[in-house]
Amino acid sequence: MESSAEAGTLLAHLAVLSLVSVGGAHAVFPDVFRLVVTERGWMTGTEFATLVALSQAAPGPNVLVMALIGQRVGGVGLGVAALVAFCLPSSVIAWLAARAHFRAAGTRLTRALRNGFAPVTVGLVLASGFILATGAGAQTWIYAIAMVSTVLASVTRLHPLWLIVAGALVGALA
Amino acid sequence: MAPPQPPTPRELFLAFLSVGISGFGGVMPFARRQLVDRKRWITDGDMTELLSLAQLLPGPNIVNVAIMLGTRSCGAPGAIAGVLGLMLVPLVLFLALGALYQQFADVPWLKGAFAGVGAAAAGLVLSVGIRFAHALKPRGWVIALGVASFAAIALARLPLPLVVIALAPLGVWIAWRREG
Repeated sequence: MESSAEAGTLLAHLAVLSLVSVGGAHAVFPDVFRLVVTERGWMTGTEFATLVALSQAAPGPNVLVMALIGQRVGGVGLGVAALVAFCLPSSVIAWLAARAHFRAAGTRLTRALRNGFAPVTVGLVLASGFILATGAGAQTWIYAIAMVSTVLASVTRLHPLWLIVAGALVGALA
Repeated sequence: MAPPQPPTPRELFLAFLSVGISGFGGVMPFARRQLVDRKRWITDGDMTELLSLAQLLPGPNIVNVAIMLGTRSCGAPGAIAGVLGLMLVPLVLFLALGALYQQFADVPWLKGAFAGVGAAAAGLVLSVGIRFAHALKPRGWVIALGVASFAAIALARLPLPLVVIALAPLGVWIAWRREG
């Protein structure tokens, strides 16, 4: 890269987005894209999409894509800094919220929070599985892998890694 | 929901380390297996509660889950240990892959393999939803709320913050009225 001013721009941008990143890294992709591709031209749109795909295929939390973006813009150091900039502000909020929540554990309000929010969360988890399955590619074998994986992971104690490896093999040969 | 022996920062670090390095295509299925099935630190119901809070707050869900479980177990040191365990090894791996990947991005069989991983990972996420659903109380309003949030995101493709802001307070209000 370029200059420390641009590194500062990226880090400040990610730190602000962290505060509004309800839903995680995926929720802020459109805004990160706007900065690094559309406005600054630090990478092409295809490169951005490639980094996102890589972060989903590689082991680890998908938020690590922020490190890939930082690395692409300004090397390894900026990669690490970008991840910290995006994670730290929201983490402090989560820590404060957790302390408050567990101190109030067992009250009528926390029971209502637990029981009332749970069905929404279950719906959201199922919806994200559905979107991932349909977004992986509209081919029969893709849906077949997703369905077999759903059933095996639901009714057996099979380690998920076996399903991932099987999916990769079928995909490579298909 | 307190387990008999809360995990130490060291145990949290190691548990989330194993979650982080095995979490292909999203870490939540691996986190559920490790925390609920293997370590038995929490139940499916507790995990749904942590994930509910995690979703309500800014930040990646799994990072928020690590922070909340760590805080509940042993305060800030537990939160820090969980997040570092989750991130450190995959970060090194990601930076190495990021340097390599540009050269191999267009190989056809590799593209197919990525699509296959994505499909299998989608199935894993669905199975987590199914296991969480089993832990819910089978009431009419619970099912209606779950179906509504699924449909709003998966079918209507509404923005997540909008869906959460609309449905979460409704659910909490119903739960407050019915089960207070």
